[in-house]
This record gives sequence, structure tokens and C-alpha cells, in this order.
Amino acid sequence: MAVETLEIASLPSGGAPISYTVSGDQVFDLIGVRAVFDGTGAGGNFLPCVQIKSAAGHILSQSIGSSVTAGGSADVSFAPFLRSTGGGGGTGTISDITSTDGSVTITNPTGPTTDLSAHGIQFAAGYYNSNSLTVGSGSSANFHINHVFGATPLNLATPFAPTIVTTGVYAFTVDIQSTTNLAAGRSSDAVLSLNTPQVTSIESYVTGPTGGALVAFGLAGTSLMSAGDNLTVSMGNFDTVNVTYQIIAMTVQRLT
Amino acid sequence: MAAPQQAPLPPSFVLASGMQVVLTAIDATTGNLVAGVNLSNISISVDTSNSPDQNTVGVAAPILVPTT
Repeated sequence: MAVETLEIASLPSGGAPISYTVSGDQVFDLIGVRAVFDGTGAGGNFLPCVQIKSAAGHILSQSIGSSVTAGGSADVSFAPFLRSTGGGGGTGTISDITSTDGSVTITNPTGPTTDLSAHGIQFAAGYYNSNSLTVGSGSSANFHINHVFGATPLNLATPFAPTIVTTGVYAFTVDIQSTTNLAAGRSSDAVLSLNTPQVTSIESYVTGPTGGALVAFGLAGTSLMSAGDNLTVSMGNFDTVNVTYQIIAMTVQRLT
Repeated sequence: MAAPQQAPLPPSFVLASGMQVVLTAIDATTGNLVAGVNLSNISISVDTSNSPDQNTVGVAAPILVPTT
């Protein structure tokens, strides 16, 4: 039999509730209900509602819309398979998640816990420099490291030997320059020491050119670091006079 | 200006004689009627395929207005 969609018209306007009673021998399927709910004179916030009651007056079904503030109005359509326009879960797109310690945990109180600290996540780098460091002839000393901007993978509570905050594989780059001349034939040694249980040292050994000059040292490497492991950046001065150095730029980036 | 809204109804709900479709406004916490809400532009759409008499819906006031 063909579907005959009809409208029951001429229902009066007035104060809620308003009801329509099926009479006679009628039997039909309810397809939709629409009405304007004018809350200008409402005694409080309200939910637009359609109830289906049995002949005995029992509520068989109750469909509600979104909350309307007292004084407000809503033009509400009720129909099967519609999604409520208000309340419920949020919608939208997460475009960016930033984490300063290199891990993100998302917890759904009614669902699983997802730890996103896994391969494939790109961690932000931390950018550092140092105080000026003057090293006496035949001596060595560690740089005092400062955070400049970006992520903070290092704990600088001990700035001469900062520690790793979160376990992971890290990439390091260090750019050091002398701010006083290195004499011809005299050398300096820059060392990045990664003090894991298996100590890793990365060195750059530079000798002053003829006439002496400012010199630069470059250090780069990767290593698995555990939380609490420290690292140092030091200079050894093999000149006959004091030489001053400074870390111009240093990056520390967690890879995994 | 009434803000548009939509809400789900149970699918394929068959209404028989004596049953009622009630439009009302209720309190979110108590479920009680909120007084002072005025209803207008009311329309109820039905499928009369299973009705013994497809030419009349209701007795007292309803007038059939085909919409499709």
C-alpha cells in the first residue's frame, strides 16, 4: 500500500500542553511533529517535548529537544532519525596537540586509555644557549646552559649538567664559538658528554690558524637517554692563555 | 525569532484510537510542566497507509491537508 503522508492541520495555538487524540477507527504511523515553542512568558528554562500517550494516559514515549532559556523561543521539528541539535557530545576537529614533556595521554572515563607517546609523533625541539665561559690555560670547564625557547626536554636545575626529563631517543646539535682568539697552532676541544650508563662523548677538536683567530666547533649526535641522565657540554683549552667560549645555539629534540 | 531545533522521534510509532500526541514544555531536572510556554504553528504528520479510513484523521477538528 502506498504511503499516504498527511498533515493533521488546524490544531489550535495555546499554552502547553496541547494534545491531539486519535479518534474513531484511525490507525496510523507518526511521521513528524513540528511547533514553535514561545517561552516569552515561561516560568523557567524548558525542554520542548513530544509525548506519546496510551489510551489509558500512560506515557509511552517522550522525545525532547534542546534546552530553551526562559524568554527564548524555538521552532522545533521532531522526526525519526534526526540528531539532536543541542547537548550531547561535542563535535569538531582537533587540529593540534602540543605537549611540552613529549607525551600525550587521552583518557575517556568510559572507554580505553590511549597513550600517544609512540613512534610517528613529532616532538618539538628545545633551543638553548649558554653563558660566556672563560677557560684557563690547560684547563677544562662545563658550560652553564640556558633555555631560550621551544620545548623543555632538559631539567636545568643543575645548569652545568642538565638532566633529561623523559626517556627517549634524542638528537643533539651544539654550535660553539670562541669569543677570544685561539693562537696559531694551539687547540681547543669541545665535548658533548651524554652521561647514560654507556657514556657517549662527541668531540670537536680545533687548532688555531696562522695569526690566531676566532674559531667555531660543531657537535651533533643521537643517543637513547633515560629520564635523569645528565649531559654536559665542556671546553678544554690547550692554549697558553685563557680563552673564552659560548654556546651560540644548541638544540635538543626527542625523536621517539 | 524562534531558534530552529530538531529532535528525534521513535521510528514507526503506530498510533491507535485513544492514543495522544502531546506537545509540552518540561523542566530539565524535574520533568514537570513549565508554565507560560505558548505553542503555535503546530503540525503533526502521519502515514495513513494502515488506517481503515484514509480520508479522515480524527473526529473533532482535524482537516486533512496532503503535503505530498
